[in-house]
Amino acid sequence: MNRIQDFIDRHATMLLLVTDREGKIEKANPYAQQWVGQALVSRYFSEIVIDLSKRFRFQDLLDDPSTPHPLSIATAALHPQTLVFRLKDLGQRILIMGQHDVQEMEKLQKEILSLNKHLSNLTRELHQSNSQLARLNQLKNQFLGMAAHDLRKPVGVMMSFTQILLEELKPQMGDDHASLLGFIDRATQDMARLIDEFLDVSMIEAGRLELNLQHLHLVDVIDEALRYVRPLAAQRKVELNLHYSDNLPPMELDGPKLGQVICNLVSNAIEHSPTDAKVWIRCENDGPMVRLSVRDMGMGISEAKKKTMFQPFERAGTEKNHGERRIGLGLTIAQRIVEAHGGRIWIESKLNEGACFFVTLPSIPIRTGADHD
Amino acid sequence: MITDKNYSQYCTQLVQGQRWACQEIVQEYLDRDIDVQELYTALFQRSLYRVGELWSLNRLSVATEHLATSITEGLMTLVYPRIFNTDRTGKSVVVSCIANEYHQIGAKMVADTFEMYGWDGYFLGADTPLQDLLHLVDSKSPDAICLSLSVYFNIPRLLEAITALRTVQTQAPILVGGHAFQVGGTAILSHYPEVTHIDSLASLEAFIKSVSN
Repeated sequence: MNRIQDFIDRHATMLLLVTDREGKIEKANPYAQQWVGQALVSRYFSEIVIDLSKRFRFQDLLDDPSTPHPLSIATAALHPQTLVFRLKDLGQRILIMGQHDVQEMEKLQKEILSLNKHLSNLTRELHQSNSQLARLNQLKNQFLGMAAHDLRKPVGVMMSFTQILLEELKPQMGDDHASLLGFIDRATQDMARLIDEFLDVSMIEAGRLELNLQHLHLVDVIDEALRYVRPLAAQRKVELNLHYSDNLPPMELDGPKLGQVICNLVSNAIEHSPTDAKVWIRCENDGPMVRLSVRDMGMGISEAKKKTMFQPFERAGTEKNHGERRIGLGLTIAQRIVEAHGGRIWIESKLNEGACFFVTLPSIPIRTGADHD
Repeated sequence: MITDKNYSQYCTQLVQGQRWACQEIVQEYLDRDIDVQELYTALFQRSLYRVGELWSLNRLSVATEHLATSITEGLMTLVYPRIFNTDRTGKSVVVSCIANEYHQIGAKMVADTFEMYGWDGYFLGADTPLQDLLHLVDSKSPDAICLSLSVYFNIPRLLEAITALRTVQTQAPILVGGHAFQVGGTAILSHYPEVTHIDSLASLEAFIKSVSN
């Protein structure tokens, strides 16, 4: 009998404890020692029970020995586990047996496996959907590129002929007709710019943004860009102030593309400024980078709108002051061009306190012909 | 090329439940642009068959087998960027395990193979109720239906599904396959002329190519 008892004691995968009537452990089988991870003899049973509510009393178990008691134990791996405990009153001693609820474990295992399969299938569906969306996006870009390409020519013809009419017939036209022709001229220019933006976006999204890098001074690029926006600033009575450090290094830049970014930022600043306001353009060293900033005195941009400003087809952060409505691709294009240079663009603004766009660009050479994905 | 040495190394890690070590091996193969069918058969299928064999010999536990299956299913997600990005053919397929069939990796490999060839796959996972299968086939009118069977004793349910499918779909070929047919069952399929038994991913590819041409 002792041999049987010894065999069970050594090999049973359950907690076997013998305590006195106060719950002080006198014997523990190897499995219990291993599972709880510390010496058990001379400790009280209540010490190994997780009792967050402080209501556990060993005596309550003794009072009801025939009922199985589910109790949580802190294991050696520091994970709480719930075992079902049964007690046998031996007079001076109490035999305690703690077991896993096998049915519960099996149910848990089955559920986890089922959930894991489900999760794996959902992951597969997600990849499938992502690929479908990527294909649709590619189609959209192809359409955008083709439509913009086909529209470019007729709009170019309209622009050229309108300008010829304005130049050659203006003396013979009345002010009303000249004004109407002026509207057509501006509208076709807007249309041409929009078409160019569509083309830019379709090329950027197709991963075909190629930089033609040259050694340039950023200030020269800014000066060139400001030439294009000064007429707009004059029209809106907005003063442009350019400040830059004298010791700016030459950089590897795609002048026309970066000029496009600066034009976009400065013209946005002008369009969001009230009449007689100022726009500040600053350029200075910032560690290994050169930082460009464009600050305006406009209405500012809310936190929510700041988050979506660089996404395609998001409208500009605030209503412009002169009722313009634009598709909102300029900042998307600006961001991609800046990032292709190895730089970063961001905005700092609070409502009613103006806005400031920052661009940082590396002043060390970057690889040429960088593609932007 | 998956060598025996590399396979053994992977299989050892798999049996030990070393998910990250397995992932490293698979990712290395993918970086070297391994053929997906080779990865599926020479690594995933071979190792899982080995795990099943060890289980049947009582040399490893059910829990270890489940863990190996879960790890493999997780590793298959690494292949997805490649299989879903192929040009679409406009054809579609419904791939499903039948009711009471809890092994879905083989069926998933079949669905993935169709995706690689540009088919849009509708994958129904393990233990798919027959009504769900019928409903999907009815609504999607696929160009092929694939049914997976891992446990031989589920053959009556497979035959029930084939019979029921004929009430909603009369055009699409029905392909059946899976580990169950390694122990028999192909003879009974001869009573169903519209059903083709596919014994490997290579046979499946041959079928897809024949239908595509």
